[in-house]
Amino acid sequence: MDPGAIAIQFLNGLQYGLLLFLIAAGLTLIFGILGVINLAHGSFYMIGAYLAYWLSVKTGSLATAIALALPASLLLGWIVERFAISLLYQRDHLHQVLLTYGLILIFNELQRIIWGNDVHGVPVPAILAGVIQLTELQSYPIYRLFISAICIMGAAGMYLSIHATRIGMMIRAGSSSREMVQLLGIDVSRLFAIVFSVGAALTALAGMLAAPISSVYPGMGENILIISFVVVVIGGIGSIKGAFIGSMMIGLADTFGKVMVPEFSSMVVYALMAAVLLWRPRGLFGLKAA
Amino acid sequence: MPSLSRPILISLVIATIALAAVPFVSDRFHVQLITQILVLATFAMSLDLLVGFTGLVSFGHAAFYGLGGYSLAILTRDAGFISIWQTLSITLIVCGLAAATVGWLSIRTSGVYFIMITLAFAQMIYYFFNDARSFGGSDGLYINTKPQFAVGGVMLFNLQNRTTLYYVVFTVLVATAVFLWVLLRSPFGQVITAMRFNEGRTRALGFPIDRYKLVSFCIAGMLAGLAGYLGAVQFGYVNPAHMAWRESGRVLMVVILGGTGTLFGPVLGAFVFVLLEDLLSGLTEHWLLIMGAIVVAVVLLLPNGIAGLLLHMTRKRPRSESQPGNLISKPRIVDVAAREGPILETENLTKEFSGLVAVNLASLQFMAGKVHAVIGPNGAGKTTLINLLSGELSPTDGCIRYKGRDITGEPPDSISRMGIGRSFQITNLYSSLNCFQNCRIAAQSRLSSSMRFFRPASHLVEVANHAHRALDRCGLGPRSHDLASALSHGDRRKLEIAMVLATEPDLLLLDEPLAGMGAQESREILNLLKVVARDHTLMLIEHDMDAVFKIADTLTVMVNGQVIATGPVDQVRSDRAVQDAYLGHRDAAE
Repeated sequence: MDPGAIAIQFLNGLQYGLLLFLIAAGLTLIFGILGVINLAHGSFYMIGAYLAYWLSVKTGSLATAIALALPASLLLGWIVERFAISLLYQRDHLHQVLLTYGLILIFNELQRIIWGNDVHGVPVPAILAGVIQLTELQSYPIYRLFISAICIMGAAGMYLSIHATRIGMMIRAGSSSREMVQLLGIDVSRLFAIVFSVGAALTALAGMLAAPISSVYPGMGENILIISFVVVVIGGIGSIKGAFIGSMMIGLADTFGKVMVPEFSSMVVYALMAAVLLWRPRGLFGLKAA
Repeated sequence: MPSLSRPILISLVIATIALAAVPFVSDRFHVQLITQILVLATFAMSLDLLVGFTGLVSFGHAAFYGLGGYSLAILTRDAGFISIWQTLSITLIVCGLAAATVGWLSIRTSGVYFIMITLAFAQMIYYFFNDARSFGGSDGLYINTKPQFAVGGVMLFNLQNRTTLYYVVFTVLVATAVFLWVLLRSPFGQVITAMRFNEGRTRALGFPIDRYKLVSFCIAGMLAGLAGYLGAVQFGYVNPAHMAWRESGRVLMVVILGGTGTLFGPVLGAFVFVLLEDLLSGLTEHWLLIMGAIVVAVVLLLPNGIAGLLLHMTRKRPRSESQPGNLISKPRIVDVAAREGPILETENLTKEFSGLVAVNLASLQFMAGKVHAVIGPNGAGKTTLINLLSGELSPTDGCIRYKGRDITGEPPDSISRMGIGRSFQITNLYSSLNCFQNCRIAAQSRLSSSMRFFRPASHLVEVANHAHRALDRCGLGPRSHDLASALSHGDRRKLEIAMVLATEPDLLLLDEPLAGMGAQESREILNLLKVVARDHTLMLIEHDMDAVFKIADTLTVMVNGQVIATGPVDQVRSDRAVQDAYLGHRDAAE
């Protein structure tokens, strides 16, 4: 590969990794603080993508669609946490897996009832539709850079709110010792609701941003879910830093795997995860027993 | 495994007879549907061995099911094998090897990480077949010739015929159930069940738990491959989608819906699940919505599955096991005087926890046949010392010699088998087993190999005798059949010691055997320890000074990870530094 192509693949890998981070950050916090394995996390990604498609058709603008869909998915996350997930705290992982699997079935079917089985495309907003010419032959779409920029802003926002706000302090405390936070008299049910709905909204945002490049199709939530779990496990459960590094590793490994070993590309990320777990059985930054 | 009540046993017998009669009374469609259910039931049962009995939640079990099918398809296509014997035996070997590889790599992790690593391996296998052109890629493979059953060159039947296939599948399901039933009552089964309740204790009793997990994983993988083989025969094709994570999730659903930790639960789950799918998909195009709602309702309302509900409704008192007749509790004849010199020695033993030195350069000698007490304030490193000696922790530096042999860094199970038994500061029992069963597991760890799969563990007379002897010595004989969870605190502490004794150690490491006891109970335990000390070497950590001075021959004082004095009790007692650093403070405080 010539340097230009490598640069483009590198940017693609980063962009994919950053998108994964938006999803995995929520998943790892829900794991680490709520102690819940949420298989339905991918459903929020799918719902975000479908909302972006549907609202942008209705309003004619992706930006408006995102502005409307973001609070909607925050609300949806809150509802799911209050009426389903909150019944599972302190339960066996097995029950959490089962219940959230049931939620996947429900969300998938609702999606089919509302939006049908067709694959939909979402146009890239005109203002971001251009490409940047890297060399004479190689160009890079502005929209992908835009996604990366939004994700970096999201990550920075997350970093600041975790390190500089009261809620963030509780989140940090909660991810290192959930029991202690409860014993200290912090209203955990509110903390849990906030973490879950913000996690859901970030994941939905990832779905909205990805809609124009990946198209919108049934079952899109499950593929991203499994990859996000891989990210979380590589990074270590409950660790935001781990989720970030894991996202980057998976994003780059997947992108370069597709180019370099196309026949085994789908296996690359799983092989990477297996290798990391053999080296560190609790992920790169995982400390506590899961 | 809960023993089954009469109504459930009778229902199981009736259900088995009813299943045997299905081909006579049912139409073609339903025979096929039930065949499909029975295959799923076998598959689910194999997963329950992991999830319900071994405590390993595998999220990649479908990979072995799929491998079973693919192996049949590839053998009939490329090798031209058509005999059941050839195809099935090779299939089982392939699945067993695959499970051994995946299992060997996965059992290092635990909890959520185990769930995810099994998923990762299954996805790797799935994508391998999905992307491999020569194995049909995402279209899968067709099986054109169904396997034949021949004896001595005479073809008896082939699996083309639906009724024949039904009876083969039915027989396999019954055989699998019987096999697992026997397995779970065997010494091996007792250990994996014990492991699920309390992994740390089981390891400390001397069982190499990783090996048990691996064997269980391999058996489960082979049984799943068997189910996959039958499924492939029934449908005549294999597809990579059969190995994908959705299938692993589906079979996990079946097990949980039916009820984990029972053998009939997965079968019930398979029936309910497939019949529901069949019923609902006939009702509406959007049947998965209802299915999802049912799954959610089951988790919230029936956490132990259908089997759990049935067992709850027909609950009965656990059957007490018959007492073996020959219960002569003869003391062990050990010539204590003949064993001189240290049985255990440490040299510059050091343990650091990221900067904190919990045990610093401890060089100690534990004399054979003596009682050696270690005292010190909280945080002095006493429990860390025990954890180092018993192998729960490995030292940062220094070495440990037992009977002259360097045992530094040996895992807890092998240290236990060498003859060092330990008790725990926080009572650490199998609370859902009775006293006898607790000790039996402990005694069983002394068998040259507990990997015995067929004879019921309750038939091991020698083991039972050891267990009873240990209980009697600790005065728990009359309580043999009480559940550990029903004991008083004092009796639990005695059971802790009885379990250690049942492993026939030469050296006992006791972590605060008197902790949290009343005066009367303390006296009882102290008397027990005195008796035990006659034919064992004891090392104990204790805060009760009066007790220590009554029983100990040698005393070691630790403060802040340092050994500040060690030697005969009287000498150490009068040591100025000790009095200042520890005893003095204590006197002042009291």
